[in-house]
Amino acid sequence: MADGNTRVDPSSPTPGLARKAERQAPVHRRRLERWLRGLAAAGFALHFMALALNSLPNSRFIATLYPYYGFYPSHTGQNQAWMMYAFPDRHATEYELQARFPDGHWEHPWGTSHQMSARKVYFLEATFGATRGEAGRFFEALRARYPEQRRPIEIRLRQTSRPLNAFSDVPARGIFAGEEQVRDLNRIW
Amino acid sequence: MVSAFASRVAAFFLRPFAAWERFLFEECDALPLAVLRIALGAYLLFYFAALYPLIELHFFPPALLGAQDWAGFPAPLLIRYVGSGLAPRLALYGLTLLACVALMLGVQTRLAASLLWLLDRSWLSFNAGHNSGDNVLLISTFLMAVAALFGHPQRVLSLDAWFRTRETGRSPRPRVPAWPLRSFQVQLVLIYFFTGVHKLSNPDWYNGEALFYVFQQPVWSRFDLTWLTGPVPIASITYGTLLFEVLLFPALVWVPAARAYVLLAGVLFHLGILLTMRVFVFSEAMVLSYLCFVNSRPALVSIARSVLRRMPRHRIARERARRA
Repeated sequence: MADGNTRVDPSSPTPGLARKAERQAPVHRRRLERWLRGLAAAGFALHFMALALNSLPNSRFIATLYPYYGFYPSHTGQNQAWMMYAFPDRHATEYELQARFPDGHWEHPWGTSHQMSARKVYFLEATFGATRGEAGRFFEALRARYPEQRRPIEIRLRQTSRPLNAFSDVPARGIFAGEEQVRDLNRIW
Repeated sequence: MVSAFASRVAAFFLRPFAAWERFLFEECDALPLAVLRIALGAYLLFYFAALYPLIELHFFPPALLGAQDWAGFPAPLLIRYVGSGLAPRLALYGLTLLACVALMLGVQTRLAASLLWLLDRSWLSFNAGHNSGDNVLLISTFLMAVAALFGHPQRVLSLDAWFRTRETGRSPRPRVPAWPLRSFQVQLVLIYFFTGVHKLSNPDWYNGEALFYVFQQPVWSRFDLTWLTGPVPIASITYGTLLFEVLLFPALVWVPAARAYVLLAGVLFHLGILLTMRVFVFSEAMVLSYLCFVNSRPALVSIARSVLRRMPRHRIARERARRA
């Protein structure tokens, strides 16, 4: 019948094979799905194991395994050890960013440390711990953001810290264990 | 007899694997994942807007970072492939905000989620000034991108689903496999557990003293907490933090009867941090991630109802309906 539809003719040479294939297709599909699901489950197990290993403290055990799993968290951005506040600073520390202008007056380009956002304070804290070269690049970049006729001649990042007494020594000896220490990172033009 | 023994041994090892498969692939409601997608997109919009000053400092000319800073950086970084001028970098930033909106609305969700992860990776390639909260969000964008590639977060409550329904005349099936939510859930549990484990490696924490040193930091406290030196309050808060991170959350959040209380304790815990300490992003990112544990439609509906009940417009409408 020339109606454009293809129909399985029961009298055709291999009806049994075609019907058998039709019956088995869902079975094959289900088997394939089961295998894929098993592979995916194994993949997830490896994913969580890599994250767990990445979170463990450094040790010879981790160093031995790192070449096998380290590429995954580092390339996907999941590289984080979750050590927040594990070792709180035993100094009461503050940071100030200051700029000196040709007429001698000082300004806070980002406000005082209590005025600026916590993220900027965090940035200053990390910059203070960075190399001199990196800190210098920050000072250059900050200075370049001023209008040319009003650029500062010095930018200074000051860290003020006082060591804290051990908790067991408070309140007998008071909170602070020593004098205030001031350290500066600066660049002069 | 040997084959019976072998099949028992095989079953002993295969049974946990089968349970693990069920844990990952059992079907669940698509609504909680969609709500997480919308909340993540909305929060990221606010997040990138707040991150702009540091993005501007590091990437917009005169930029603090240059090509030499990314030479050894693990791929992928989109920022490497755009020009160093202001216009291309600004366009990339605009694209980031657009991707957040697209994720929130569920438009071209696969592309939006993947792009958002790549862009977040690029913007967070600076070392100084980003904390673990940023990494929580970066991981969340990665997990959402993977889920979106398989079409799950956009199954419902998305413009993609609406367009598909209009084209095909059929609504999408509102059931998805559990693995997208499970990946967020296990990630959250790992964060708390390992945070607690690392803290225990410091004698200050297991002696119950660590928070004394935290409260003595003037620049990181929102208001003066230096008066808090009593051993009982300090030890209570220190041990309470450890208990929550190492035991309560990782263990009890999987128990349906205890889940609501654990999540509430977590919200209060992070609210306490937010109100007293100048910790940025982390508290909000963690509480946002809690949505992955609100994984039932009735729970979401009851939360939505309790929020609506407190809104003035709805209170007035209810009052009028009562009087009428």
